[in-house]
Amino acid sequence: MKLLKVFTGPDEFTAPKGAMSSLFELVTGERPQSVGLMTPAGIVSDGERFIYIADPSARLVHKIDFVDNEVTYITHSGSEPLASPVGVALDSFGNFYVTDSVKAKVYKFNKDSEYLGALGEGVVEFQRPAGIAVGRNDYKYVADVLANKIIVFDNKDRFLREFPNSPEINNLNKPVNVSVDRNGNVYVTDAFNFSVKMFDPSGNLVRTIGTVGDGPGTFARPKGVALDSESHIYIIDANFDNFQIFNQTGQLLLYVGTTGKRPGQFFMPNGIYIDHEDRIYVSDSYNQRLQIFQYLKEKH
Amino acid sequence: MRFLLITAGLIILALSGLSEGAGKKISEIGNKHNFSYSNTSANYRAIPTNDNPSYPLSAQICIFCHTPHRSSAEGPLWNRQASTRTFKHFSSSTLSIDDPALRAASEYGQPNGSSRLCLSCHDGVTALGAVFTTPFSMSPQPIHFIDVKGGRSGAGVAISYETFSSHHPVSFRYNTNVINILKNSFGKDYKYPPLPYNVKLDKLERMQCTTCHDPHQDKSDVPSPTTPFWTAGKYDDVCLACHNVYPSQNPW
Repeated sequence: MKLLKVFTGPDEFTAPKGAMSSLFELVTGERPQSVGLMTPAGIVSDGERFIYIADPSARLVHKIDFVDNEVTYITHSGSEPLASPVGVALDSFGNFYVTDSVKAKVYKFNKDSEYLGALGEGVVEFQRPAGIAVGRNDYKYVADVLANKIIVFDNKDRFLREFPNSPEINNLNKPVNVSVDRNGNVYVTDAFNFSVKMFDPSGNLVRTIGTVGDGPGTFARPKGVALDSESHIYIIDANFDNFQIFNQTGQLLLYVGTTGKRPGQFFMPNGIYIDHEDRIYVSDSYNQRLQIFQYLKEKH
Repeated sequence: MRFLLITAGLIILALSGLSEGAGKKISEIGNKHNFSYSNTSANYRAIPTNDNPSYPLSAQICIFCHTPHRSSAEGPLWNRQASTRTFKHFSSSTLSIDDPALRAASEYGQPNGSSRLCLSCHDGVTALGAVFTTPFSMSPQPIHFIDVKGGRSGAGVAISYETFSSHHPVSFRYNTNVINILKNSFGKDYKYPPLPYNVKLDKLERMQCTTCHDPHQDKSDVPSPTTPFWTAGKYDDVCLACHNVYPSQNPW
């Protein structure tokens, strides 16, 4: 594991002032300000250029462009301001999806940040959508915290199904985050059960990882979940200020991070995403920053 | 005998009168922080689980905020020597020890102590309301910026958008030294909360969420969504414990 980068906000970029900025100043007499990360939550990256970070305190999504070195902000869905964006995901076309836990909507934007519509509009009544992930075939998985289920949409954004299939046996208790592996298995952070549940592509429970506790292999406030290219499972804990890495059988391999504000330390981390290059993006909420790590395979 | 009965009756009346204003205790049905599935009058609660048939996790009350000591039977495979450690996940206000790094961090406004327990759920997901604000900023901080691409149909639309987050700061030291600085440098009149009183600092003289909110029981005379789990009967009583207020003057 190697720390690659720590990012706190657009002040790190020294991009020249653009024409739009000058026009804005001319018209309004106001100097536009940039927004640093306030309490970054859900996070996703295309692994090449863009990182999207949902920030419920700032009520916007930061779209960070590491090629042009600029940050733009997604503040509205159409004419409606975002209220509490908490989750974000990308499909293979570069469209991105934003869950708003207060508006109880999942919004879709194209790669140019133009608003396209709400997911499941008129079909699915979300209660509190939070975690969101896009799996193979561009299937979308949304964790609805209050509904205690995962809601699945297909590549055409049509409602497909929801699970767990047998909620009376394999229940979810406030699912807050979700991730999908390359085989279509779904990993759900089950907050009130202090664990991560793994479901097969059909929605059948395969395994439960972790239990409540304060030692390695347990959880107090499990948050984001993600998988690397070797299908190791990374799980953030906001109270432990770390993420723990498990193998597919649920054995703990390693934990990374302690409390603090130095590089590699965390203050109540929340979201995690791992790209195809095994770069690990962690939203370090109360350090108000993003940290990027690299998973080094054994050959290193 | 009659005197005793009357006296006892008066005492019972007085006691019932005292408790009338306060909300449900954490152990009672109706308390919104009682996340047990048996709390049928609250919308936000656990659903029944079958993890332990004799006493399922979702029937418990404390566990959702206060994590019991437990680690897995096996240590981490890639780091075996540390298998017995526990994570320092909660710096309790009832413990006088505190991590030096955590103390240093409090100077920069990161939540510490018991406030971490509140904010690790109140993150906009598990519970609504990310209530963080920049250190010592009392009023909303409007941020103007142009929206060139983001969120609007039709690229290139420049709009002015305000975003702000406002909440009373937490996790800062509040002692006579701080009060003097506020008075001398900012001309603001503050006082140390009278003791003993509901409005409490933690053992390290830090204001925390729990200074104004009692997560176990709402003490408001009239419960209000704007002052949830309030530590005193009247709204102002909490503010006035530290803020000296004069008529026609904004004291904040």
